[in-house]
Amino acid sequence: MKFTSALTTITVGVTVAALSGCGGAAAEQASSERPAPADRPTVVLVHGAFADSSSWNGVIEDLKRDGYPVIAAANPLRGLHSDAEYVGSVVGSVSGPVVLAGHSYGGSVMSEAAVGHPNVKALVYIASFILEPGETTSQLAAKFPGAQLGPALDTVPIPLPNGGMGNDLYIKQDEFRRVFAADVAPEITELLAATQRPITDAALNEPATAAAWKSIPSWNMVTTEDLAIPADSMRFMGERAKAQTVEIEASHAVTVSHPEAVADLIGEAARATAT
Amino acid sequence: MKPTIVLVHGAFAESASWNGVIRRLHTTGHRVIAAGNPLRTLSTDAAAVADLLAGIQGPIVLAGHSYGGAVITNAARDNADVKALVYVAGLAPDKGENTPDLTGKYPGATLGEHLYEVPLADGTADVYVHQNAYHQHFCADLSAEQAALDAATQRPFNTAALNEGSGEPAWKTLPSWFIYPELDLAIPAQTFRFMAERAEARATVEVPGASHALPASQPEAVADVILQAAATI
Repeated sequence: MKFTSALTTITVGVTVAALSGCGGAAAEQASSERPAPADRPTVVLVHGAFADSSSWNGVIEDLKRDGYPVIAAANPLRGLHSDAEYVGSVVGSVSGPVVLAGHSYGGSVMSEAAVGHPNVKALVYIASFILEPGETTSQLAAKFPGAQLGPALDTVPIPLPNGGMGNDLYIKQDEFRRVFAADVAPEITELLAATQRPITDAALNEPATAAAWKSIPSWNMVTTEDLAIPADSMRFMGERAKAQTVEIEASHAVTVSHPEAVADLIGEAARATAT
Repeated sequence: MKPTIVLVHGAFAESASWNGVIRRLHTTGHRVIAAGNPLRTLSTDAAAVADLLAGIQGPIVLAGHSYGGAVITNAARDNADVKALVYVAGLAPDKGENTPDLTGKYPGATLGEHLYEVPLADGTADVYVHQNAYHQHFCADLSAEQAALDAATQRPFNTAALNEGSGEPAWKTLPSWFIYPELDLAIPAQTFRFMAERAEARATVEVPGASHALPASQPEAVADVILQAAATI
């Protein structure tokens, strides 16, 4: 009874005030090389498949040091549209400007989730997909040669929410480091492999229905040593979206291996879109 | 054959909360899978974990933290490979009991006063812990830096999962081990003692001074109990 009685007394207004206060204490530590805008947006991070929000930990540390409030969204990885609707509700719970950043499949989700939320000022794609309506995540992973993820996957049959059977996909634990995170230390990748969250094959094969990047400025980090999404695919999508693109010599797991570079790009997007 | 150890995280956390435990279990050569608990409804969460268990060959030790305990209580029911249940500051509901029934059964829980809701399109709501209350009320024995990360990356709990009653509990037919913190502000220690006694636990360990975030703050103690359970197989 304790949980529920307390819940009913809490309003969304209180929530938002508490959340936006979180990063404030660290504000004075912001580095002078990259001053954060005075009215800092909330950074909402969307993790990808075969990962969870802890994949952003190093990035969150940097962003908090620079005074940004941060929420890492619990991407369900069930279906593109339902995941986007879910992340959209997280974005909708934030008052004030938002910078959205997505890793991998998280970018596919973010492009739809931002639609209808005018407080989203910037989209930051990190080793990610920038889909046109009608395209699927799988299609763009295979559009250029070089991806090695497919043969490294295990499937677990699951019932789908709207009837029928589907599959949860996992990366085989002993292949995880090679195909996903080759530039991360083995003692870390053994943890990432054991804690990876699966994605349904349906989510990877569901076509995008919206592309917020057509109306919101975008940034794009291309990981040149990526075996999950070929760098050429990321370059192609970034050019099409007229995104500000940077390249980094890194594996797909760049939020873990180069968190400071990821936080820098998010900070750049926040500064460029500050009002 | 060594058992596979499957870890089920609780609400306001994710599988990374088990990192220290996984590291220790890997040193003893166990295969470990941390399940991605959806935290949507108790029955569907249990089904998701049951689907994962069904794909594992050989014996399984199933451990759950916090609400993850309620999930293992229901996920293990129809799988003969599950040989042991380990409740890590975990809920072990009886048939029909839900989370608030147990968190409110004895006085002492303060976490419920620091939650907020985010409405979802389907009419339900997700429950989060306020980031500025997370350290004190969820994980007081972790560093402020770790608490800030865990607060930002917490996975929310759907109201439907919170309020759904348990099915027939697997702890009635499987041996169980309990490890719980003395200073838990999410679930009172007295609730853990009550549940452990009711389940006729093989062993019950109270960790002095520890918070609810036991897998993160006391990974050695947690892994020890899991290995004790694994050694009986």
